[in-house]
Amino acid sequence: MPTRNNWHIGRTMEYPYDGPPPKRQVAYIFDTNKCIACQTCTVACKTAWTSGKGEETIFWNNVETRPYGGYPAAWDLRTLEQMPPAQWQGRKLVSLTVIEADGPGKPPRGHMPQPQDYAHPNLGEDDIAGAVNLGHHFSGTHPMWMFYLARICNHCDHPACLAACPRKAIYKRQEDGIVLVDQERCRGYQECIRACPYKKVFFNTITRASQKCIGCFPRVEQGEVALCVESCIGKIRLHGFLTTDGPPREDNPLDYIVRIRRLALPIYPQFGTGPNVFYVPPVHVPDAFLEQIFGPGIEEARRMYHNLADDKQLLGALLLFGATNRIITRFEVQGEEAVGWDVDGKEVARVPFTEPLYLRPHHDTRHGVYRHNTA
Amino acid sequence: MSKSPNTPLFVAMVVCVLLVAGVMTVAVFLAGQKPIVVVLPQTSAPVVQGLPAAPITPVAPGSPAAPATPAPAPPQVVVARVAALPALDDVFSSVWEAVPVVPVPLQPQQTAAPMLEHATIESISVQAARDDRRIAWRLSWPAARPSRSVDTGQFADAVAIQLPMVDGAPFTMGAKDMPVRLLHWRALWQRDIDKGFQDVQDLYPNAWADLYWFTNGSRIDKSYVTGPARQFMPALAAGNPMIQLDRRSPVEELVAEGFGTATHVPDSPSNGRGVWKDGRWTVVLDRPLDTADPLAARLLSSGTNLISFAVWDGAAGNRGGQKHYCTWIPLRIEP
Repeated sequence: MPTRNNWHIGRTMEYPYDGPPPKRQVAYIFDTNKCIACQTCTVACKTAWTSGKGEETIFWNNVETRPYGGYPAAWDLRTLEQMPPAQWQGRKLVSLTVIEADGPGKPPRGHMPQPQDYAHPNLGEDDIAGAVNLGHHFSGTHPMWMFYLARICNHCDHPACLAACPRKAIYKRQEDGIVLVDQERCRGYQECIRACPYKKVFFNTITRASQKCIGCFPRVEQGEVALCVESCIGKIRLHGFLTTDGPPREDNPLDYIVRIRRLALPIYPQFGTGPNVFYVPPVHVPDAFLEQIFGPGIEEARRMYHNLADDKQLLGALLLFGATNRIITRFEVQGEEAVGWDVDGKEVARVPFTEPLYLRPHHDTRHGVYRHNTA
Repeated sequence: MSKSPNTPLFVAMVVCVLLVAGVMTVAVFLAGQKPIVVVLPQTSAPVVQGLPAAPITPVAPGSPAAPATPAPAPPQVVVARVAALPALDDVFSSVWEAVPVVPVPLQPQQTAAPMLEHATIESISVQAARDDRRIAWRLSWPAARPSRSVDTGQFADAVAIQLPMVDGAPFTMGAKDMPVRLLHWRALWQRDIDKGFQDVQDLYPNAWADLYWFTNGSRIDKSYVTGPARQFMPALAAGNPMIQLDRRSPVEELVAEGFGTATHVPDSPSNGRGVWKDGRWTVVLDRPLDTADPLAARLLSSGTNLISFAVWDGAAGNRGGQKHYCTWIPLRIEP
């Protein structure tokens, strides 16, 4: 089997197929500290892409509550159960990935969900890790905690779904690294559903073919962000590209936050598929849980997040979240503003570090009326 | 029992057991909680003369596959000439009683990933017959319960025959420039034909959706495929043969040139019918013998041909390459 470099786990890895990396890799950053699980992203995606017959329980985008939530039910616990505990030496993974677990020539190790696992997308919603008793007070990390985890397909560097498909009906686009299921060629064997450790490939009971997040590719081709990103009212998401044809660029907000500063971390990097949705970890959740789900680097990420007020370049990149419907490929901090440009070199976002404050006097002398807070 | 034996009940139970045992043609043993079904040779149909019957040993469901042992003298399938093949829907026609039954041992597919780790089906009973215009195969294998629907992690029972299109094509789905032709029957497609296309409400009777865009109603009808609603069924819009709302044949023909290359043949003439009865599937695959057709021409031009079989146990998660299969078997067509 060909050997590929997997930067997420700091080492090389065997994978059934070789091939150059895509020209650029579509990637997303989700700031878990800002998500309120309003599910606007979920509804935007579902309305646009999966509101057809047979797609009733298909959510390419979902938001689940940690620690008890998960859709499909226990998707990650069941994968973790099958694997030995992840072992890291610094940023290098020394344990096996799901791709390697069963040896060369074998499909990735996985599990097949059952229909009822998709029946409760909001299982565990808003449940916290433990009971809060009278007199408890919190500071720093919380002994009782929960956070919202928004999830989409990770458009992995080394997709397990692609590796598992016996028909080669899944492919990774050369132009942007988006992973797609060929809707004409799929015969519904569901090997991808079993193999994807994130359970982001779904079976359509009516078309009898597998379906997955298409990365809003018709929009990406026009330079627009995905619908789940555009619709996010909390502005927790940034959609862009990671550089693949050279070292990470300081002026690419994705490169800067993910590769250079490492504020945002991949989800379950130990699975080894090279996921491309990166999460700013929640600052209030204990390390042990976060290290299992986001890998090494939790402490540094938390420290960086707490120090953002003194970290203008990083804060500037974060200000661009939700600032435009265009994909930002270059950014700069200019004085007291963060500025973003799209793929055409057009300025598409200019966000002040401090929102202007307007004070309106209680009495409007022009109209001779008093202003009230109510309409 | 020991304190106050209920003698009439006990006698009734014994009589029942004896009655059941008396009419059973299938012997059932209990291994753990799952029955092992041993298929006894059918005495009403003659086994092909001169060929040793394939050894039949029970395989417990879920047991590891037996190591590959030297196969006994291979069977061959003789396509018997009959005056007229029965009507398609008459799977149990008396015409088939005069046609020899060949038991063909099957193995779990363990050549290409994803492999079938555990065998659950031991063998398939094969009959073949032709008349002037058609050729048909009647295939039968045990299935404790039929699997007719698909859902996440759920698969339908299926069977296929494979025929080489050129000499030398390997039995493993052919090879580059050495194509094979497949006739593939799925219980799901049979269900579509018998009861109508399997809709969401058939899988989940209490399912409710407020709206399916641009459609006339909650059950699938023409409005789903003829108007703008079509774009909400991407595989349908892409022309995927897996979704056919007006399926006319439960049999699909495919060509293949190696693993992972099986490709749908549009408008193929194969037809058939499968019936699950008394713990067995019986499936007839039926195809016209039109000499203008390359497959029929090949079958008719040479006296000897080859055939192989594959069976999928849906309940055991069989699908795609995870199947029971066999190597090439001689196929002799009576002129």
